[in-house]
Amino acid sequence: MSKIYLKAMEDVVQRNTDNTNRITEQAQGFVVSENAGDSLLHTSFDLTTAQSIVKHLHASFLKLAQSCVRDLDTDDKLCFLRVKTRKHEFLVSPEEAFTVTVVL
Amino acid sequence: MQEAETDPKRTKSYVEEVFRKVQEKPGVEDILIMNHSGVPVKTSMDRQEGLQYACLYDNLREKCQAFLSKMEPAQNLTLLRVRTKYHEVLITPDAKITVLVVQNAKDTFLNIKG
Repeated sequence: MSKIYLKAMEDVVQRNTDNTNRITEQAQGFVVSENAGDSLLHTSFDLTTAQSIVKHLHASFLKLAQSCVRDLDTDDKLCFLRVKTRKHEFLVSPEEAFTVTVVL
Repeated sequence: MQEAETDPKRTKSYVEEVFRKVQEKPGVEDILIMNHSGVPVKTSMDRQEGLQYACLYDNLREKCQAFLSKMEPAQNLTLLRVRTKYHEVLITPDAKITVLVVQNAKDTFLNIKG
């Protein structure tokens, strides 16, 4: 299963190189992870930082936020998440199969 | 809002002032102000809905702060913005109170009309 995702990931990265470059000009970096196994797929950070973001932000906090939204209204769905601190801002976009986080 | 002090005053009149100022903003659907224990202090929601929002979103804020504290160096949450299909929820933790605002999202995400 992961091989299919990796292949799809490579295709997406290829097609969106311009977007990726534009994002990384203004951001500190980005992390893309697979939803099914919460495994790291693509990142501009070093491995330790990226794994930490996937573990804490994608695997724990994002799922908590999604369940929080669903508990309040079953029709509702989490579309986007922004976590702002004094120094950084995390922009989390959960999609069907992938989750993308950009760190400003 | 005020700059955080060592032991800032968050009196009832302060809460009323925050509530009034936020309510003046366009697009605001609901406001919920909680104390540091997550108990609603003042809200425009009905009682049951307010308690549910307070319970769920304060738990979310606590988990978020815990996650940020683990970072190196530790960070403090200043604003949490949760965009859903129909609304946008903004949570602003303060020294002693937490202000939660539910607003109409202005963008055309998914072309949903509120």
